[in-house]
Amino acid sequence: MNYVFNTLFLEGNEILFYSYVAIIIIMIVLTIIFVKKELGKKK
Amino acid sequence: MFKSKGIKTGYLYFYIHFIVEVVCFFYLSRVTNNSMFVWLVPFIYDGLAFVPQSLIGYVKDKYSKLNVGLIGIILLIISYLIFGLTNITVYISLVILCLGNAFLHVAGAEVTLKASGGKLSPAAIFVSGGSFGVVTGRLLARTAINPLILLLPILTLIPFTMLAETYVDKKSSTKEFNYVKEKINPALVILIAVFVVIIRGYMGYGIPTSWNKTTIQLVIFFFTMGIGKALGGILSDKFGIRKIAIASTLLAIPFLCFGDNLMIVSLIGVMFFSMTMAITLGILVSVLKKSPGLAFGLTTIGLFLGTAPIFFVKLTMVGNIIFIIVLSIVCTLLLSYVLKGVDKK
Repeated sequence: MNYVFNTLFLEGNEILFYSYVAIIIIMIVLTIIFVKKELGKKK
Repeated sequence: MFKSKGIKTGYLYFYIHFIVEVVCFFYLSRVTNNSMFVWLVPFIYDGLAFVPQSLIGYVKDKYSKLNVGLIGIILLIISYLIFGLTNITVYISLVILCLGNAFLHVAGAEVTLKASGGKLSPAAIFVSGGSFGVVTGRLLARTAINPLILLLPILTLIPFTMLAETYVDKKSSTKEFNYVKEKINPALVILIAVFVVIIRGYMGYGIPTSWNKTTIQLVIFFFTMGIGKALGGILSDKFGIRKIAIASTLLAIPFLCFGDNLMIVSLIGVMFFSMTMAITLGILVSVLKKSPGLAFGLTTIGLFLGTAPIFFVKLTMVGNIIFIIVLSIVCTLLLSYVLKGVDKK
């Protein structure tokens, strides 16, 4: 079904995959916080 | 042609962006020769090169003296030294390469937007350099050259970034970006712009191009994409952002849908479709005037979110065409809703 997922799990790299996803989510959440902060300043 | 300082920074960062993508795609193509990494490495690359740009951009917006361009160059050099001289796992050099790419992208966005005087052309010219670099890097990787040779073009970036910095001073800002209707909630504008980028990101990979089989066709495809990105900004400055946004998004539909086996038809579609790149950036900078780096980073997050599904889901040809038509129409409506007409600017 999906090559990335299979490759990571076949390699036994579940931790690597979940760490990667967690880092991406943290960066996106931080971005949303900063955008809200910048928009708040305008008002 | 080179009169304004904005255009000068655009061309300087066209070269810088070109070399950055040559270096990155040479690396990616070499590493993915190993079948285990075919999908994995590009997937990690997309996330770690695109997503951090918003955070790096935010820091650069706050600390304008921070030389993110130089940091990016240093990271690229370290990455290539690790890649070329050691046997350490590929993930180390990959992460450093991604960060180098991200820092240099933010540097390009900050300089070209601040020196532009509210015009889109400089940032569009900077962004377009990447497409030429992607294909050049992929072709170079097919040759037998030593990766360490690419340290030379990386080093040439130093004078280019230093020269570009001279066109930006304390007074430079992005206050002149006013492409969005004032009455609309800025948060909604941001959501719309990011949504359009996500769709464009998906379509960039999902466009049906069965004709694209030979090396020369691959080169023509990426060159057309690059020209389209630059034209998006240049034509928006000349004829108005709203007209170009609507025309390019709508005109792209038939050419993309019926160009699967017809190279010329498909290329016209690719060119139109690529034009929205500068337009979405212009929208985001208009609502985040004090944070051009953060605004640019939002477009790259959108690109990541748009390309990520490609690694997991594959639509059928008919499904893809329906998807392109429906979402292109939605994007056109959304862009025409948020953008001002040229006379109102």
